[in-house]
Amino acid sequence: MSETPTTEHSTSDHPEGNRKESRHNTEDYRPKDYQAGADYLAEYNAEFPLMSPKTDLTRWKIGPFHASLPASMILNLVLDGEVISRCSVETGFLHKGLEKALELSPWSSLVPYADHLDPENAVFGELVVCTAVEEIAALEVPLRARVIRLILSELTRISAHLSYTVRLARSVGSDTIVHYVLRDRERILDLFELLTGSRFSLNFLRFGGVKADVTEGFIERVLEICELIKIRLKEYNDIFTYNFSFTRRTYGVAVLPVDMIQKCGITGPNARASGIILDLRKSSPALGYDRIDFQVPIGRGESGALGDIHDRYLVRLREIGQSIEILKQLTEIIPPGDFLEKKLENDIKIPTGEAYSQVESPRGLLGCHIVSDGSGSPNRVQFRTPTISNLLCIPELIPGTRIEDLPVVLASLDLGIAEADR
Amino acid sequence: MEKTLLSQHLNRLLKDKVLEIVPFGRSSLMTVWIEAKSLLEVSRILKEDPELCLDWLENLSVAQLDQMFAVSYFLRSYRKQNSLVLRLSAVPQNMKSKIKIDSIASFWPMGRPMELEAEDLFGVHFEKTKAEKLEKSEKQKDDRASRDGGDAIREGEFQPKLLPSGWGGYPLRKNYVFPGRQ
Repeated sequence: MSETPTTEHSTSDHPEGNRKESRHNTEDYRPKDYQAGADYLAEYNAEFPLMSPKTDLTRWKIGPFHASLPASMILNLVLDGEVISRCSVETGFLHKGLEKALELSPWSSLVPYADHLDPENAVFGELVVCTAVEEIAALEVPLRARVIRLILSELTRISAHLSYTVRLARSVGSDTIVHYVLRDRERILDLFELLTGSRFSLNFLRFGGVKADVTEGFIERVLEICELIKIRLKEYNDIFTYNFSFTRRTYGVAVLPVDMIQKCGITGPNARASGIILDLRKSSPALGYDRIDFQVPIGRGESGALGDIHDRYLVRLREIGQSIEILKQLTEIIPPGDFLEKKLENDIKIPTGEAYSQVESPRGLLGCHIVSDGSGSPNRVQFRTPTISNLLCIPELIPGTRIEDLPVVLASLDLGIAEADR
Repeated sequence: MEKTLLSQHLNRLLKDKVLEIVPFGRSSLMTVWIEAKSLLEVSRILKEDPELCLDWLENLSVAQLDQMFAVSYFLRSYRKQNSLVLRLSAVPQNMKSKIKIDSIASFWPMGRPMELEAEDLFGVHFEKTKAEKLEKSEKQKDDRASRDGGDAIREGEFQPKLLPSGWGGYPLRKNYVFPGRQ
């Protein structure tokens, strides 16, 4: 933890008495060498006095490791009393050289490495890599394998959104719901273990299919957990969603306007919470959702401000409900047949070519550009991660919010620093 | 927009600035090859054209093929179903020197962090336009971080720093030698 508060006025040369006399004259007590916040200081907001400057500006540097941050990053804040007036973000502390490691590895090692793109949503890293390689090599994926992939994807989406709920609940200090949600998330991790043998890094997808067929009783347990989560969603609403102490912290806070979303390229639930209907599951039939009947939840502005923290939370909660509907339909349409086109050897070679694949991950649009030069390992693997856009909006989104809301705002953006730093 | 129509429209719109229009791999995307010097002009046309309306830079990818670096801009439209890949190539003077390409952040601000990543990892320096440089220098007058010197970043910015300052070499280049493996 490193917090280094310093005051700007400590470097100024005006006398204390002078400042007292000119308390309401911002021109006089402003340091002579200070111009950056001139516009900010000049605007007094009568409707929201807290938004108006009236104290010394303080600088805080938070990070790279701090309890209020969702992951390792540095926030440089300029505080006016308890209100954040400016902010900058710096990341890169989790850079593990994933893209270089993928270039140096044989093709068969791509899937286990891709797990580590975003450990929380491991399946989507695998899926985006497999889809790109299958496009280059023109590999057909059997229908049964496609459905198994979709089942895993939707289970991961539910698990990711439950984790999001936990992080958001922790940031507002609500401990009860954390235990409720983690209990249910464990059931989904149990399902991963049943199918793949792992709970996090699944290493289950293969080029042209999946590693193994579904185990006995898996489909029945998926249905069982769908029913369970559906009941639990009502429980979450009773305990947390409309709890006064939660709504007070989230209604109308950190509203993401549509123009900021388009400027930063934000996708996924964060964009949908602000009313933008953008979901690859609907717009890209190649992902395999074209035979599934489901809706794309978008923000409704129930708090009076479309795109605030509460909308972002509600959209994810509703997405869990839709994922349950998708899972139910998938278990009905799963066809018999092969789960892998053909078992590829360890020293496989993918033909020369390139592909750019996209999937709708729980955080937003995840893309992967792979270039192959026909050798035993890829020439280039590059990821387009949704968190980059979410981070880009922070310096514009945070100014104007109070310092105690900072952890809630950061948690509400669902930042996956592992995938941003790669 | 359908492939043939898109191709005709681009040829009409960009005229001699297009070097080649080819399919992108096996996908339905089109790759538009241009010269590096016409990047800003082409970017402006593609963004402002009402039929294309390519207002979203979804991805920026750099790949090294032998001595040549290919920079790909994956462009999309928020309002329409249009998308294409804009691509240019550049060759550095030697394999240790930086490559200079114009920055497209003034057209697509979401591309700036991706440019900074490519600069760190590939040594491709995306130069800002004169107007952006002027704006930056004016802001820096007020910025205490830049006055103090050091690595502090400017206020109001998001900056991915994937390498420590002073790191030797560009790790994603093919000739990169890992420290301790000379």
